[in-house]
Amino acid sequence: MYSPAVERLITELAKLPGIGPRTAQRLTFHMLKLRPDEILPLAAAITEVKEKIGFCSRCFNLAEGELCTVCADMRRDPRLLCVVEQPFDIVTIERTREFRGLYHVLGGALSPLDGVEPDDLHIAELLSRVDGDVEEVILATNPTMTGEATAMYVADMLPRRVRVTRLASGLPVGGDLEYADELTLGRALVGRRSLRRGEE
Amino acid sequence: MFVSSLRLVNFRSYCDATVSFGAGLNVVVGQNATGKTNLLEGAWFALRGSSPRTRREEKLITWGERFTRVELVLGGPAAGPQAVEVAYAPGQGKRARWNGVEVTSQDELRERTQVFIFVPESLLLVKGSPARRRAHLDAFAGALDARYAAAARELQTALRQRNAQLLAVRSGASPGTLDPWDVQFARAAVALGQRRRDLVAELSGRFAAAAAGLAPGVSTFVLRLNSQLAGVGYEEAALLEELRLRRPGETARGLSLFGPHRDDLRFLEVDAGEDAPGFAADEATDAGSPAFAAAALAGPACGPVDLPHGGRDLRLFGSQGEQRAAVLALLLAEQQLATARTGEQGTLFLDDVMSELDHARRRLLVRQLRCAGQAIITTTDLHYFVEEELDQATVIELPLAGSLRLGGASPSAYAAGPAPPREDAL
Ligand SMILES: [Zn+2]
Repeated sequence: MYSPAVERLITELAKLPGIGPRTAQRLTFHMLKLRPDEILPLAAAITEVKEKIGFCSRCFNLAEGELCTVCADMRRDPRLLCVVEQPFDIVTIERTREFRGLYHVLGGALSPLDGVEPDDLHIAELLSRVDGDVEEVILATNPTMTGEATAMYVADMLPRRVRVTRLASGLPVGGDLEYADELTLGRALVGRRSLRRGEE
Repeated sequence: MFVSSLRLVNFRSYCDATVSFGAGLNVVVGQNATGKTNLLEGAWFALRGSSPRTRREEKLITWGERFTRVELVLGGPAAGPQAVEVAYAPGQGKRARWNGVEVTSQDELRERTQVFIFVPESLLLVKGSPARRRAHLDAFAGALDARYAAAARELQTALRQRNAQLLAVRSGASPGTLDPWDVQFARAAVALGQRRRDLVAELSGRFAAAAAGLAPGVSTFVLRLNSQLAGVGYEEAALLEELRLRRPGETARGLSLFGPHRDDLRFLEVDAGEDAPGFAADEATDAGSPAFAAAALAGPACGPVDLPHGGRDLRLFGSQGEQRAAVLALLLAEQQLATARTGEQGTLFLDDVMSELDHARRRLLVRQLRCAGQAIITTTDLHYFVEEELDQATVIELPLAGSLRLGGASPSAYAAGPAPPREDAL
């Protein structure tokens, strides 16, 4: 129907989350109307981010090199590991200034309905990280059903000698960490509780 | 709040008709095929955004028309009159407005009013599938209590996730991957199961009382919840243990076979004289008895747990009259419970329920309805009511076959008396 170049842009845009074919079409026509200096910076930004930014080889946070800024910071406490679903969650937790340890990004949460199985998350990498130094793992997955199930699964896989904790309640149930305010999240971090029975 | 007026545009047999109602008992009288049921269906459509009779909504539109619209005004002491409007056109979907503001979901509409309807299709509540009964209970309770609605949604999510994981394990995933989903499912199952159990407990006394005035003969009707969860005492830990025992069977089927998603509501009849109170206490005894719990745990891998005592199941063995009485009694019980919870009496829509009752039971029903806020009841024959009842009612007469006339084919409403009816403008 359209020229192949236009078709291609619509197809690529429609692959993005939250964008259906109609929106993709609208965005494409919008871009066609813009002057090159109005739209090409977007293309450049995409290229730059893909060239420069990757995932931290240790924690899977976003990184401009081998390691992310948290992992590269020698002042962080390697005995504390905070497990989150997405790199976004790290930003949220950092804002509370309550946490001085390191992170591990799972890359999502278990959801059999969406075909997300343990092998699809960075769980094996987490287990291989939890040796030697690590004394406590804080499971900061979202307080949703999938987040809770993921925390439970990971807790069962971790070695017994590590203290495993979960953020204290008070977070909005069913919500994402992203939407928790700093004060509430800070309190939840400070008041975290052991996830295993018989531990304090 | 009560329904004070209703306008039906291109709805079933109505081209454009408006009718007014009184706050108490309303008697809609008309011969067969004058649109009595359609009138109640239309009011329900405005308040619920769906039909109680069919899922094929294009059937609601008058033959040859492209759309239907129903407007309804609620009167009452609260915040002044409220106007509801629901329009539907195939291909364009449904649109609902409350005082002119768009209503986005049927749940939102449902939370605004307490309404109860009996139409011929309502008999399926007794005769139909357990899923229909669960859906009816959950819709009623969900509209009363947002936490109940949330628990019902949680269960659906947990169930679907767990079933997906069961399939994954069947296809080779490690059985340990089921553990977290067992926990999530157990939590959601007990949360909803307990609420449903408490709901039925609250309904059952009211149901028995209402049924006593409606059931034919000298029988006593009992409402009870059949739940596998009773076998594990509605406890998360015990349910988890049950799931552990059933895991091989459930994995083989790739399906959750134990939980509140297999609950059923049962309408039972016990002979009067048999100890009906003892019957009501049975559930507690069953659930608490270790022997029963053990039997349930060791029980067959699937199928609802059958509680070890009788009572005649009206779904299987009830006459048409008994089944009608059971549905009516459930609606009356729900209406009473909703009133107790919300302080709002709501509206009962009852289609042709008088014909199968005898004189004494008709009087009892009218007496119950008079305590029940607004009731709109259709009939083919005013003689089903006594003079004194009609004196205090709003009587609405439907034209014999004149509903489908172009422009304002309104049914007439008049205050009935022993003398010939006097026409009143609406
Ligand atoms: Zn890192």
